[in-house]
Amino acid sequence: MQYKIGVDTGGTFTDAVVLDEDGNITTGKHLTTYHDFSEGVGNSLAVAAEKLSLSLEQLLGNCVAFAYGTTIGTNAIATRSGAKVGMLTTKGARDTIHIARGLSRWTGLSEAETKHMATTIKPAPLVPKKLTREVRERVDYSGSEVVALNEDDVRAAVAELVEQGVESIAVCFLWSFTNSGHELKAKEIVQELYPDLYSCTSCEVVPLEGEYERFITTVLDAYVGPATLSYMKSVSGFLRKKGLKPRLLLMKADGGIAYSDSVLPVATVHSGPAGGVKATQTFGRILGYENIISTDVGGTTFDVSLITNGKETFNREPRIEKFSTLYPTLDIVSIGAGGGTIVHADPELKTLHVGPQSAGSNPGPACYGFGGEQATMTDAAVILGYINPDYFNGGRMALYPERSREAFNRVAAVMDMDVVEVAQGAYEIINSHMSDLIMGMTVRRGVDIGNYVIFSFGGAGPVHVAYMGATLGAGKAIIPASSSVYSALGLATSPIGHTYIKYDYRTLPITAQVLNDNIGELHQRVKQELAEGGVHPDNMDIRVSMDMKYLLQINTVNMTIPLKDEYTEDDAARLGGMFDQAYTDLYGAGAAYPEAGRVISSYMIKGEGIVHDFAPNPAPLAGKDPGAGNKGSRQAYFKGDGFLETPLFDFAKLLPGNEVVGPAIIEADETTIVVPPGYNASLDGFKNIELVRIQG
Amino acid sequence: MHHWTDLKISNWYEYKGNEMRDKLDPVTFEILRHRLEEIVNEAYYTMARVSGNAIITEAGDHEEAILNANGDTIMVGGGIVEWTQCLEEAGRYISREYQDNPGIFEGDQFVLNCTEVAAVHLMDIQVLKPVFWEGERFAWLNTAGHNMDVGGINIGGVQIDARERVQEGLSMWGLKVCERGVIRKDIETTIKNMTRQPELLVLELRARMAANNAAEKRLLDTVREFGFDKVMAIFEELPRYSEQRIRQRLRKLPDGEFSAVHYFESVIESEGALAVRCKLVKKGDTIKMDFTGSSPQSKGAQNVALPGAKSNAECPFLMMLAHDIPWNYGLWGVIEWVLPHGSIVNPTDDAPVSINTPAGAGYVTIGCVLDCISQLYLCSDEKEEAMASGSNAFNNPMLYGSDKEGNYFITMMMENLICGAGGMYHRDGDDTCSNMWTTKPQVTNLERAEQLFPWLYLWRREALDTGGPGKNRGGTACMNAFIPWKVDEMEVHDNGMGDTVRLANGLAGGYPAPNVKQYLIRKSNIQSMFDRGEMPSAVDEIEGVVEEYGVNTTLPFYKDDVYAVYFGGGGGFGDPLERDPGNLANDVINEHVSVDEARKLYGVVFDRETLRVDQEGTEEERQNIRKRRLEMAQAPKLANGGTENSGIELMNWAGVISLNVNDAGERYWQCMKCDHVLGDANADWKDYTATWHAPMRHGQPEAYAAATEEYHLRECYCPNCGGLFEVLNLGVNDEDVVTFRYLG
Repeated sequence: MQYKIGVDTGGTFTDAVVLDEDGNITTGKHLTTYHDFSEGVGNSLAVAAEKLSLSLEQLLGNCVAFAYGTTIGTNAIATRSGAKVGMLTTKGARDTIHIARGLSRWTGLSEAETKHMATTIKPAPLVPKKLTREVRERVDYSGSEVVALNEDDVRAAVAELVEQGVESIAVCFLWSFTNSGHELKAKEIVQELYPDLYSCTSCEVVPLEGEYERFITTVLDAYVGPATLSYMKSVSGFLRKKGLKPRLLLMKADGGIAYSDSVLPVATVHSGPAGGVKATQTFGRILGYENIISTDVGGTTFDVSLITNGKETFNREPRIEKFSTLYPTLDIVSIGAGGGTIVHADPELKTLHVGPQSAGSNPGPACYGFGGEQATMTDAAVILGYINPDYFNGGRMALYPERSREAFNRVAAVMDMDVVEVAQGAYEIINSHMSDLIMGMTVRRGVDIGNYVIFSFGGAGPVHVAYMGATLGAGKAIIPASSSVYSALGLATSPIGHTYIKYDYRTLPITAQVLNDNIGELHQRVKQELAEGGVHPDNMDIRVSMDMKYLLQINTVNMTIPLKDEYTEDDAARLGGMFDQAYTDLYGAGAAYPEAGRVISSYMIKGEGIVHDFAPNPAPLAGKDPGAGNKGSRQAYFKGDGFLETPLFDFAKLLPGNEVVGPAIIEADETTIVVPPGYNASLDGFKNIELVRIQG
Repeated sequence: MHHWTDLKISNWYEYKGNEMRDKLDPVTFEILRHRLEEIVNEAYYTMARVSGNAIITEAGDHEEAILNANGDTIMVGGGIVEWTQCLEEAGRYISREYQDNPGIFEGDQFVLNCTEVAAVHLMDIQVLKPVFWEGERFAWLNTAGHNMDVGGINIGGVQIDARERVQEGLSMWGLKVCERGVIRKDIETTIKNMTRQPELLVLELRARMAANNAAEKRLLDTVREFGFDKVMAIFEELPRYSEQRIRQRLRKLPDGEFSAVHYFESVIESEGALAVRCKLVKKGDTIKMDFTGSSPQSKGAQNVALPGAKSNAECPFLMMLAHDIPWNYGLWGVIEWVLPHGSIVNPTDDAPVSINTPAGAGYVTIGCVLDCISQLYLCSDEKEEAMASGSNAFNNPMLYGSDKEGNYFITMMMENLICGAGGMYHRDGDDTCSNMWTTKPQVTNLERAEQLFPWLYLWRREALDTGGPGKNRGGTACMNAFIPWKVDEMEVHDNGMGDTVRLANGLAGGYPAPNVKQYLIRKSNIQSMFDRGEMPSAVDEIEGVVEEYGVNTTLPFYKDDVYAVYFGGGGGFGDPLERDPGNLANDVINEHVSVDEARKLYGVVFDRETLRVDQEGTEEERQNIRKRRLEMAQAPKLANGGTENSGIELMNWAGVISLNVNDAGERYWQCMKCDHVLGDANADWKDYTATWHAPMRHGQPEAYAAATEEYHLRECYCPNCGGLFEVLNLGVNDEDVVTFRYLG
């Protein structure tokens, strides 16, 4: 038997998913081991191997694809524990990352926070000025050399920086994406002088216009580079020693997996949530859903991402902490809304508010008994009867329901309302905030929410999912069976993927030659990379898009065009009309203004391919009767009905094909699924729960 | 029409049993409040994405609002906060004036930019769309943004040469540009042909309409979801809520009078300096903003018309006192205005106003009110909310001519938006952050600018010694230099302020930031430097004819000329002699403060080789400076009343001066630096201080200082320890300003 394996090292747990060639899924979970992450990887795999009656070596020895997800880069930035970076830049541009276009004071803050001027503050720079050296060189907008590269400057600067103890070098020159010669030469000098020093260039990291974003992305690569490389070396060394034969694959923030030795370290930053979105995409494909709203509710945040026509969407200028960057990531939007979100009331005005502050996990919700006194959404779910205090986290964590009540009593006293009324009110408010975010995302991307199904994962999601899309017209939600190891599942099932971008700024009309040159180059590159990864040409899924705008505009719109081996003059001539249409679809009739002229600024190609297509295999369906899973009943509150005696089900004992009619509550190890009156929950062959509103 | 005085003040509790609570329970209130915020954000982001104007997409110079049927604001979003009330005045005007003729119908959109009714200057173009439900108008959406050229006597909207309002260009009083969903070709054609950038103007109008359409869709979805009555209820309730919240906040702050004056150079040379004066009286849950004493209206275009003056003054009010309260007309209810007619903050209707922002009375009004609110906070327990002025001294160059492809262009350099923030009670002002009065501003990458326009940058850097000195330093500003590229010439039309006056005031002993400096180096050797592989990093490394020139000038800019500018940063907070030498060592290493200025302004002595602080030398230098201060100063007006220090502190201002009361009930001022009792609190504390009328060039590097005798700084010291309490920026014969009068 052959296996595909996905392992995700998270902040608390390391999750493993093993997919065999018959499509069976086996999971393993173990605490993350901070002293040596390989140990946690081995332990989680050993749990899965044991379930398969295999040794770790046997499991790895029969593995044909191993994909890994890590937060090492993300953590290095969050804790500011990355490498001591030295930066080489064009004379005159040293302060680019300090000035940061003036945006680092407010970027990443909520709308409300940006209005509170006195508390907005810039982050400390990643590279101090004393570790930045300017060299004489200059290229202009057209790629023409204005001042030749002074190689002596480069040599002297690198020697000084190394003297000061830098652990990596970022080479960041103006206009290097139109003429990469100076940057590549500088890097060559660095490598010649210090072959073991990690170095990177902005033209290789993100060859796009915009020096601040390009430079800071490159600096981030240098910042996380040394630690990421040595970490990957250690994990892959460990796995090889245990018998793994294929090269290790690594999850990137753009949702693609690629061989770890070819992945840019910065590409792994914020790759954590990508696994979940990829798992959603995979199951969406299997279940036949093209348009999905992927939602993840944890303790503090609510994350949303859209999959449209089976394809994920990208954020082209993602924010990493308070830095605005250019390496594309999956487009995941967050608000502060989760189980730990605090419910509070204004004592004078008698108004009720939910969030955005969170009690986090420590002290956490009042019912955790860790000393938290504030009322949170988890406490509301306890009061409303949704969460079973005796079966939280599979019964591994005792809850104190009386503390939830005490906390909500304080809010209720302020509001002069009943405690259940306040808990229900808070539940409605947070559901509405979640709906507002989903609605905003769909409106901004010009898509009709009625065509979408919601996927809900993360511990707190299924408590809310029935109401997230209810008012929006998204009438169906899927709660994936493997949501506790969802990211690892995404890793095990994801295709290999590569994204490449090329800048070529031109006003329309362009010739077919220009189109063929630009797209042809990217197309060849991505085909070659996929082939090297073992993807058969028939299994390559390659999409090409271009960033376009009207001449006077600043921001671009990404437009997908059909991929062809050879574009004709007719194809090139049609681009303008296609752009007007795409623009109108996004911003409404009358918004387009072709008279202003149209511009293409860059081309993007995304190629994906499955190497070993071990599709997860559904189990045969049992009958609809969920009786096997019934575990009694308790009182749960539903708006309009009040407290109802609500049947409870044990997810572990429910069978594929079972159907649960609301009101009902399904308790799983890591989550609780609320099935309100008027809803039906049915289990498919994978035990994914499909939640559908059937009336009301 | 609603007006704040008609509002019944109430709260949810009082509403029990009231019809409103039946219509809108607290849960629905909170859900709809959040929804309205989201709808306004929708308009904001649509505008930001669709606009073709860097001032909007990058600088964030736009703002969006939901208004009620009468045009009153219900929810205003972030963006450029100084327009908030203008958005409402426009809605009220169109609702009132055009109801019958030409009528207001579903699908209409109106464009308005006239300064008499509702704009800071004509470049701020608002498009308003009425929203209907079952045939009844229940709301307006207003999307406003700064445009570049609006015709007029000067290019780019900034009308330095205008002497009458009618010379300032296209003034629209609510034209129906879109009628029942169809863009009116006659109107659009007429408007566009009255500017020098017709295509851009059309694109901009469409961007505003697209933003309104996006918000309208979601507003109507909300009506469908919650019902018309509930949406009407939130429209009524939200302003009440905001008013109660702001009153709640004001009640928690001490009563008192807080004053400030800010000067700026008039574009009319004979007028010299112009001043905006503000006295903010905070009493209970109200404030009064009194601008009596501001200069008479100018002949030039630096006046700010009444709607713009109020909007500007409300900007710090919103961001410092109401940042967490929904912005709408309920907030205005706590403000009483005194804006003398015929002054630069309320001129006659024929007076030109186009430069008031960013280089005139409008922008300066913001700084004045900021100072007053900061003084209020410095007398309270929330001192960390206070902030000295951010960069105000800048040049705002418009450039125009033929671009690299031979097309006509007009644009504005945006480096002036890379501001230094003002020093604060607890920390330094941010260096090169961004304009504080816009919630999400950013500056164009220089690569983007070089792509779009015909120039090449030599540098864009943080400018040494540009932050106002203080215990907590004002943030450093930016400097930049560039040359024409691939064209032979273009024209630069400067407008700005702060080349002779220092505009970013300090607080509590912090100095104002330095002056702005600008140079043109004619017939430079830059090309031959490039050919030799050389690149300059300062003006003095370039050969040529160096012309230093003032703000508000129009100059040709030729191939081989170099344009260079150094902006002023943020004002400092607290006596610079109290700055931690360790922080100063970081400033020196990070090139925010030079070794020379560290010694001169902060009294910190460095070993030039090692850049280590010489502790003894520093102590000695600081003592010497304190001594010198007292030698230069005039003796206090009043002698110490002789009160002994045995009382308890009632309040303190900025951690600098305390107001104490002793057992006998006598109140007196005390220096918190040395515990010296200043005197009886029946007199103003300043009467007990030693004062020095310092030249304007004092407390800044010589390189930035303007040679002028017209203005001076007034420095107040503790007569005992020589500690610096306050630095004020005044005209030569100007009377003093009572910074704060604490009334408990």
